[in-house]
Order: sequence, then C-alpha cells, then structure tokens
Amino acid sequence: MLRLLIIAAISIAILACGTSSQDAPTSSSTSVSQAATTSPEAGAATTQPGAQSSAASGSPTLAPSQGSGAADSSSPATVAQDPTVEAVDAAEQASAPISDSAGVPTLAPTAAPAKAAIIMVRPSIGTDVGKTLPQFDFTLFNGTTKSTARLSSQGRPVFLFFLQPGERSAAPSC
Amino acid sequence: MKELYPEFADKVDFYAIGQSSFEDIDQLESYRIKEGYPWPIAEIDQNVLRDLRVLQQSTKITSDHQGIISYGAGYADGGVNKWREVFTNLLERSGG
Repeated sequence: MLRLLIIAAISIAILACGTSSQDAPTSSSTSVSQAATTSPEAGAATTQPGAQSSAASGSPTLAPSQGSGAADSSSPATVAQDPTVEAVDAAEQASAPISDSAGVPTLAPTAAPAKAAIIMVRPSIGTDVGKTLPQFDFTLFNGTTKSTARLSSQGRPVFLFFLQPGERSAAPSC
Repeated sequence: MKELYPEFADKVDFYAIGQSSFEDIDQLESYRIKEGYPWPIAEIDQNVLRDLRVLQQSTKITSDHQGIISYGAGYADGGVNKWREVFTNLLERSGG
C-alpha cells in the first residue's frame, strides 16, 4: 500500500515536471509568434539566434518558479514582453546594432544605410561662385563638341577661359 | 597660365573659348597657335555667353568635379600663385 502511494506520488511529480518543462518552449514560441504578428520587420529580428536565446535564457528563470505553481496563462504573456519590446526596438533602430541578453551586438538583417546619407544636395544653376555651372555646349577646332554636363559627369575640374583674339594680353596674367 | 598648364593639365580640363562673334573657329585656332596656347580652343554660341554673363574680356570660370563654380575672374585677375591655389583647392575638393 505504501508502495502504491509512493508510485502515485512519483507519477504525479513526473506529470507536474512534465507540464512545467513544456511551458517554457511554449511560452517562448508564443512570444516569437506574437512579435512576428505585431511587427513584420521585427519578426526578422526576433527570429535571429540572439533573440531566441534571450527568450530561451529568460524561460529557465521564470519556468521553474512558476512551474511549481499552476502554469496559468499569464506566464507566457510576461515572458513574451521581453522579445516583443526588443523587436520593436530593433524595428525603430533599423541600422543600429541590436544587443541580446548576453550583451553581444548583432546587426539586424534588415539594416540598411539611411538614404539621407546618399542623396546629395546640388546647388542651383547660376553663374556665381557656389552655383552649378549651366549646361552648354562648345565646339573645338577638331569638330568635337563638349558639354559642361558631360565634363561634370567625368568628375574632373574644368577651367574655361573666354578670350577675344584681338585683345592684348588675352591669356591670364600668369 | 602657360606655366601652370603642364602642372595641372592631367588633372584639370582646360578650354579656351572664343568670346567674339567676329572670329570663327579657324581664326581662333590660328590665334591659339600664334600665342602658343597649349590648351584646345573652341567656339560657342553668343547667346550662351550672354546667359553666362561673360561680358568682360578674359573672363575665367573654374568648376569643380561636380560642376559647381568655384572661382570666377575677369581681366588680369589673379597671378601664378593665385591660380595655383585655385587649382590645388579644386583638386583637393575632388579628392585627387
């Protein structure tokens, strides 16, 4: 009779442990799925190993303490908040490195350079210093036509010297 | 300018452009040879000169590698040192 009671207690304990150990992956998986549904861009960040390890590393601290008690539905929600917040941060800081719970910075896969750094502001067209040289063509003696736009696209500085053949000292004073 | 041309010719595009409407390109070329200018000479539409406000003789315009005007000068403006400084600054801005 005593043996039966011991066996029953052991089986109950095993069942209790089994349910508590199953809660941890369930909570982490729900957290990932919640993050993926709330923000698609953040889903990529949470599916990276760093984010999963943070959720997994958080579950051992929460699961045993709650596993001894009743595994209610509030525990997955509390576990799910950390990766979700991290995912939102990753979405907001698209180009910034994301650090996981271990403190190791990892780049988000969706990181892209800001367009503002690529686009250059071009001065307006004019004839004063600091303005963009107007586009015009001129024809060389050998028949070649040069355009200021083409010269600018070659990335070389240009010196234009307008002269009148009849004038004295047409060349620059040097 | 003749002194500076060999120093910067491989980094800066030099062009002389006829400013008068009375000379064609053949006369401009003859004038270039006579004066010993090493840079190519060209003719241009007079309307363009007006739009560029090239009204003074011996007007000089430099533009950087992005086509932005960096220096402008009229007759007898600048000297060897000034133009060397202008060209050096142009090359520094263009990264070369």
